[in-house]
Amino acid sequence: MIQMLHVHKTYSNGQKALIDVSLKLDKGEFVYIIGPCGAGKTSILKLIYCAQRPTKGMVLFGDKNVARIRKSRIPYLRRNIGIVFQDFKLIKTRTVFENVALALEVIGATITDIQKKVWKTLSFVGLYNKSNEYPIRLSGGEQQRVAIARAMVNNPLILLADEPTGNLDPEMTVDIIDLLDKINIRGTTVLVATHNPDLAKNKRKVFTLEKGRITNG
Amino acid sequence: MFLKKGFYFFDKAFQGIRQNPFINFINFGTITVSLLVLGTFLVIFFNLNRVLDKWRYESHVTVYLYDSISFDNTSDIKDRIAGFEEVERVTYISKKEALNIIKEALQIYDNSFEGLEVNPMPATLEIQLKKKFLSSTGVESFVARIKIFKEIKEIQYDQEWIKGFSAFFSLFQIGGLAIGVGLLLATILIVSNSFQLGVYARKEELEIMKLIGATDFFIKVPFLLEGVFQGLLGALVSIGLLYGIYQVVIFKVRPFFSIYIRELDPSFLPLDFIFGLTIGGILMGMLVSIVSMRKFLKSY
Ligand SMILES: Nc1ncnc2c1ncn2[C@@H]1O[C@H](COP(=O)(O)OP(=O)(O)O)[C@@H](O)[C@H]1O
Ligand SMILES: [Mg+2]
Repeated sequence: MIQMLHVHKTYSNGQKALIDVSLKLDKGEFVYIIGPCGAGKTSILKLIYCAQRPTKGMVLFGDKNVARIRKSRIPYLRRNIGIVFQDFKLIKTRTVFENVALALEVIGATITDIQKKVWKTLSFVGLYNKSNEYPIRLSGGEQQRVAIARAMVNNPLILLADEPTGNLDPEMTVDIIDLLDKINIRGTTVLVATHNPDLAKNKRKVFTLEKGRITNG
Repeated sequence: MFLKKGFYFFDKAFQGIRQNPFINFINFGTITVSLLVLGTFLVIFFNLNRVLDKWRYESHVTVYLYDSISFDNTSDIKDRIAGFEEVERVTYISKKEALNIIKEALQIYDNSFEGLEVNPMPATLEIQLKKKFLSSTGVESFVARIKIFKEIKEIQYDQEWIKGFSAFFSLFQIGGLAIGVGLLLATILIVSNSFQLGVYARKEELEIMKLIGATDFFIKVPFLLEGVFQGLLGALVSIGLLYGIYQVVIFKVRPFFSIYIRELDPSFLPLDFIFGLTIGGILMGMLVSIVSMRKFLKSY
């Protein structure tokens, strides 16, 4: 479903973030990318949702090389991708409900459709009774759930989660990973980037990233 | 579906206005003042043009005839002049009539002139040209062609000084146009600077929207509407103010002016100018929002 082929990314300041990275994700898989801070995990995710373009190599989404996608097509690509950002990127002036609804608003969903899907998703992530709260009034774990809810509300083909447990205590971490598992079981491909090797223990598919290179199979 | 989307965009635009009422007010105010100045120019130009046209349309070519020509010759030359394609109407004014006219004009109702042995007034032909020949060049070429008639002593036409005045007026108009364009550009620049503050206040939100699949169009439209709204409101209010000011000025100035130019008949801008100003305001608002977002939407 997603395939990177000999991808290099050098930022404009000369920083080599990715060196000859190749990886493959099949439909329905739950995949981890682990590596220390600065290894290039976020860069890989950004190449997938086209916030950055590779310096060299191909990034295939389905059979489309998104490395060469036209700028005007990028929004439509992103509608197939749910993104959970490292810093959540929730809007402070919007309630939980409105934050989640935004993902449907921007694709032109109807109000009834938005109501139905947002409530369903909020109860799925366990935030049904926090819908009117503003993000700052929520705990880190709850904010992470809002971010996940927004990423999954329009049923994307793939969910990208960047350090989804980065700021959470171990208990919350387990909750969030369980939630991501539930999403994966429903059929969504999930890609998690993390610096925490414990998360990837006993997992079927793990890519290890070090200094921009993939060091395992 | 289209309607629903339209409502959505309007809703967003008004949300934007509510979030930044101060910026919106400043922008609206700047546009209003700028259009008010522009509208004032327009009122002045429009009325000067009207006066000029009026003078032009009322202008005659006056032909003074030699005293020596006979009545037959007079009607002959009248016919010949009437035969020119430029001529709408020729009126013959005999020496006697001319004298009566001058008496009336000077408000002499006694016998002051009776003592004169000869009537000093020449007979004249008052020639009214057709409207489309009333340009300076049209009148001049007509005059050049009738000059050759030997019965004609002298030709006078108002166009000479109208020509001078309209040359001055065109210069004035070009100057006004340059100032107007400069003013509009300056306004767009100033307003787009403060408009950008509004965009930047919501920068984070807009970036997030892009990351979760919003098109540039979707992000731009509410701002475009916000700009249009500022421009439209600015135009309407400036037209209202302009009308108020116009009424006050006319009320104060008219009695003073009428001593000099009895028929100066000032008029407010006609509908098409008002429409033009309104469209101008809307376009200005649109340009402002386009200029303001140009930088912002470049990144992915
Ligand atoms: N926009 C950028 N411009 C320049 N260098 C960057 C940029 N983004 C990331 N980098 C650099 O690229 C490397 C990889 O960063 P990143 O992909 O964020 O790693 P990770 O997510 O694994 O911590 C780091 O050295 C980082 O400093
Ligand atoms: Mg990172």
